[in-house]
Amino acid sequence: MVPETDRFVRRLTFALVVLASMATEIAADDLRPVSQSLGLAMAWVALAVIINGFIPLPANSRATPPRWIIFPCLGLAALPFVIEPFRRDWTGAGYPLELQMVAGFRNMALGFAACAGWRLCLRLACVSSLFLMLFAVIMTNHRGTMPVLGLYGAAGSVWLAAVHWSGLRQFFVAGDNALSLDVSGGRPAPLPKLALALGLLVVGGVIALTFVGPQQIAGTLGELFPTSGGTGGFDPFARGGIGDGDDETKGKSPKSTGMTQSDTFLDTPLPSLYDLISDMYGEPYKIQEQERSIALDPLTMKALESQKKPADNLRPNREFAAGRTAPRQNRDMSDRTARAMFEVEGRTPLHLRLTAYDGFDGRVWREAPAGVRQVLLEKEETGHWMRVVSREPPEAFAPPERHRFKLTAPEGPFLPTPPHTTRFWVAMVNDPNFYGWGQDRILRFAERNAPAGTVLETECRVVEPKKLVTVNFPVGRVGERFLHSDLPPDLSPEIPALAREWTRGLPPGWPQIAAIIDRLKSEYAVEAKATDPRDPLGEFLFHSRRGPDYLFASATAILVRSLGYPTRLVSGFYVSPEAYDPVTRHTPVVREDLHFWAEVMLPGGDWLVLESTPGHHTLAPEISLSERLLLAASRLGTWAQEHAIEIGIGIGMALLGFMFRRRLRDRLAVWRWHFIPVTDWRANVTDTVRLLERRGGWAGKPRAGSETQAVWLRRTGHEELIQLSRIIEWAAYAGPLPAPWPVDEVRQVCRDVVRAWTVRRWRETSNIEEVIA
Amino acid sequence: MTLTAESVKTPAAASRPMDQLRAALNAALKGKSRVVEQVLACLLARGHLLLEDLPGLGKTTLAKALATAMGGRFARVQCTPDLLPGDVTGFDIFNQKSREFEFQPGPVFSDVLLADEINRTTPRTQSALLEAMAERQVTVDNRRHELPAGFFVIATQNPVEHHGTYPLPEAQLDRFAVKLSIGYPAREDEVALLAEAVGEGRDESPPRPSLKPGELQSLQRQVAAIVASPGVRGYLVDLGRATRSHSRIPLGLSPRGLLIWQRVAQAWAFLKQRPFVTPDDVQEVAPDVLGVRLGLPPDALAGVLDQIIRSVPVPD
Repeated sequence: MVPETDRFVRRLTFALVVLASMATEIAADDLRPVSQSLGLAMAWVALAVIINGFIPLPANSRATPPRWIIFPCLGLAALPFVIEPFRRDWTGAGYPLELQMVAGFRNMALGFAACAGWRLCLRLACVSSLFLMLFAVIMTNHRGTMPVLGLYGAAGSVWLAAVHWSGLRQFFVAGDNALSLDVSGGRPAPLPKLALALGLLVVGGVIALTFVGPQQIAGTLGELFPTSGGTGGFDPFARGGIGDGDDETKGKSPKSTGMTQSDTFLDTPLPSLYDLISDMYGEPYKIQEQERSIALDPLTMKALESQKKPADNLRPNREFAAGRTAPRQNRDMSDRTARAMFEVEGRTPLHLRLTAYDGFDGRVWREAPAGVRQVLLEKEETGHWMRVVSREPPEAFAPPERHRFKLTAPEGPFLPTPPHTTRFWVAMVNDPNFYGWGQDRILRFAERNAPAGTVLETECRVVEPKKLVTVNFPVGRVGERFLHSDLPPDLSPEIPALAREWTRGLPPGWPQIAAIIDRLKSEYAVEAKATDPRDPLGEFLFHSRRGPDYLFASATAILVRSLGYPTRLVSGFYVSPEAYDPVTRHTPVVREDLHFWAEVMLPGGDWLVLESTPGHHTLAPEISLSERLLLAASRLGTWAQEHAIEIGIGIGMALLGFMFRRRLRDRLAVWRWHFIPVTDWRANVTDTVRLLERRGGWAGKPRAGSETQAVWLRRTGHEELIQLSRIIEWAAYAGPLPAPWPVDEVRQVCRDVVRAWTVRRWRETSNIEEVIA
Repeated sequence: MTLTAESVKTPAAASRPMDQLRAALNAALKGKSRVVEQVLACLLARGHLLLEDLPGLGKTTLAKALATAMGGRFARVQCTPDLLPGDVTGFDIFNQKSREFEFQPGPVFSDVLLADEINRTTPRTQSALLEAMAERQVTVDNRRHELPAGFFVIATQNPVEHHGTYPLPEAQLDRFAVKLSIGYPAREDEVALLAEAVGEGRDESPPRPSLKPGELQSLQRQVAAIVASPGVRGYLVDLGRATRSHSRIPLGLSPRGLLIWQRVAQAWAFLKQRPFVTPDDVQEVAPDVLGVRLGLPPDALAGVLDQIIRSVPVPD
């Protein structure tokens, strides 16, 4: 190594260890926020930096470090094992065995980095950091490790280049100036026979133990770590494993599951989906028609009895009342973190249809007939994908996208499929007969419930809103079975009038529909409250102007329908981007994500989601990188605006720290110089000159590596420094010769020089004379 | 502050004879005090001296002045192409009276031998000096003849590029401690030189030796005792290794070269009245010591040495 790169390499090594610590912390607990992991890593690094400040640089970096260094390093390695029992006892949290080992390793790497003045420690620190980095990358696929890994790779390359610079220089420097040097090599290191023998003994012993030893040891070695699963061992703090560990059955992390069937999945104590609508939106009003007794003539009585409709309420969930009581206020929203019904991988927001309603009588929506036959499924010739056979779609779509759904606690035959699904795939279920249809375009399992652990992959078209303008939306009745175009018989004429007013002057088709959605989104507010049982729509549209999402959806459906377009009301799950879990990279969908929206028929029979509830959106096509950058920049700007004071203070502190970094370091060094007394006058002089050297370097007057300290000091031409140059020569090279001066006087000279020759003084000393050798 | 510049200096015991020697040489060679110091260092290091320069710059003058000032027996060999080894070492002749072979000692049997224009003689004769210089003995007809303990060779040579020269072989060069060149004097020194030569001429009184017998040996012993700390020794070795791996150096420094380098550095420290060697001493004598043994042309030496010195960190 070339001397001028020495300090650079030390810093680089520290940077490598810092990066490795960061990656290790991220990998150690990849479910917590990255900032927390990085903060923890920084705390350890700061500790190492402080320790580093107190370890003096050795005079010769090639020297063997003092032997006692091994003890603190071993202590650092053992520390996590010592702390772990207390931690588990006091905080209830803990690390599995492998993480304790890695934490010990990390400590050791930091320790080595702190003593990086010795080249041996420097190299050990680098190797340790490499191990930590590899461990982190293998242990987790958290996205946070990737940038760290990239940085590590870059820094590591520079490290290698710097360490082997003397060899590389021959390639980079023009022939005449090339100088290849190997001042340390050539002398073969003695073979550490004892260490080799010990190592072989340990390895051999361990191998022997796996054959003859107890089952536990064999199992442990077979799996490398007892907590990685499959060994029959049990550690309550194990990470996601294969056959054990609590994460498995709890299924907290969608990544940890093989989605195995277990008691938890089969006997769920949770209420069924049929209670969900009432839970979410309150009970429908039961209009007590017998409230008042009025006298009727027998003929009328008889006519009424004969016209009585069948008892629809015997078939649950076949209708949805738009007038409802307020939902129960004590609904525990903290259940949000409860285990999801299913997890979505892919872009959101998504609308997942559950049930569609077509007829509306002003108060109650009727479920549309199920089992539609127009749309069929067929299996693709190759692979297990099922294709949805549909007529030529309108030209309103961006490139299709894929989603994956992992059903952890499914409800009934429901299969979550995004709108405009073209293909889907469920492992092993590759016959179209396994699937059936609810209402139009609502996929279900035919006559069976979806089993827990089902993984469904779908490919759906994404609507390009800009292209919707060109679509010719069908107008008028579609088929006799459906009520998609039927307005309530006693619909107040104000509602169609309102629709016409909102769409006045607009061309038919999407502009009209979009105008209605915009109006509702901008002029109406969401509020979970009781709704008028008599005329929920009229009350919502003209008076209260606030209500739950089903009123937004109902209003959209009826307003658009009053313009002639076939519409329907759909209940289902809204996959909100806000619920995205960046750690698992999935979006969990819980029962509270139940949502209502309206849909309008597209040419070809497909249905287009009309999302008019404020705060809800439909899936937009993926935006380009530049647009995304712009968006990110604007968001960053907003965030910065909100936290202006904190950011200002942070930047100010960092700037101050940066501006005064030398003064701070100098102060630290002077404190060390003052408060850590050295008994030997030579050490005292050496420390003093080093302090001066550092100051001189900061002031732009560094000492060259091939120049002795004495010459460098003499170059200043100042009497006190020339004096010091004689003393340092004596201290450094006189060996056993006794000092020719009283030690107290030497100390006094050192004190005076340290006080007088500050960085500023060095800067002001312009006349550094070249000494004529 | 009580610590003064003087108190920091080491008390030098042997300065008086050294001062006389220095004065004598400076008188002989005007305005070349640094060369004189280098010559003294070589002498104190008990090494042989090679003076290389253009004709007429004072090589022989310096050599003669040194020989005279040192005292002891002085011999001189003017090297020519027809000089034979026996002319240098001596030879056996048959004594008719005693009817025995008798050894006739050559000029090497002296305290100071001046081999003038050594590269004008043949390699065969040059090599005759090998044993004498390295081991301070001569073997003639299987009989060993010891040379005086203070045997000291001063050789002068013209630059190797000149006509009619036989370049010294590497083995021979390695026996010299240092190679010095004197260079042209400064203007005022030349003016003084001319002034001296006008009129009554130079002071022809024979110069007296500056050193008493045995004094030089005592000084050389003191030099050998100068402390070279482990750091400095390591520095020397690192520099030596650096010369061996440098792409432009045909012949790296030998261990003997390292030994001589250390000794010359010791002498340099002694001349500065310091009881220990610093890396600065090592660096300052490097051109003299390495110039004779790296096989580099003189114009390339400075650049290569600079590279080597820059590449090895000084010990702290």
